Amino acid sequence: MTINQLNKLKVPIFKINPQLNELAAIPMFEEKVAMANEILRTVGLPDLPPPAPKRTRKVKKKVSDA
Amino acid sequence: MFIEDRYEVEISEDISFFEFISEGKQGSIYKIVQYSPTNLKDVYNLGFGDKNLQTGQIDDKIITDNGDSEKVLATVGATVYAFVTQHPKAYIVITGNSAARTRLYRMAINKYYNDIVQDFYVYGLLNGVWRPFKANGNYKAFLIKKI
Repeated sequence: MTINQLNKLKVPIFKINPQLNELAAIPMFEEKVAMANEILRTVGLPDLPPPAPKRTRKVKKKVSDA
Repeated sequence: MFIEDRYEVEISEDISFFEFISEGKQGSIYKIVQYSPTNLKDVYNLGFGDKNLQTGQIDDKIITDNGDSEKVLATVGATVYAFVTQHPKAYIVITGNSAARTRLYRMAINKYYNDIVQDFYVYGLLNGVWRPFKANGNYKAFLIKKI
């Protein structure tokens, strides 16, 4: 995903800063992650709704002249 | 329209770490958003807080009162869109540190709900069960997943 692609989406103007890569590797919200893990351990994930059925076009049968 | 007014954001190359500057009555405040993996595959925690430039510490309990909370929350919401472009299968868990903070998240989701549900499944954790999000639910946590 490039910056140009990202900026065309429903997102603000993003600028990749490689200096943040180091920070990204450091867990900064460990308490929150622990809370999330506890919720996931005890509750799990919700059942997602089934995907909407694909629309199929009805093809009219040709009436043969026979 | 959702996320019209928001801050510019700098991001790490793996699109998991975001930084932006809130400008308001308290001055310029560095905000951090980090998506961290959890123990479950494809499930991430959304962490959000202020960065103290002097100490380098992150504070996710502080109430900044910088007068721009809507713009800040819209920017955080926008990071979700960016994150799921890179992780389209991701579930994102959002928890607050306090009932007040969780209520603030609920109000933010509620405000943009009509836009959000076009792109995401949204659930709230109520009495130990994930339920489809409703405006007045007294939720303990939230979970979103790209449709």
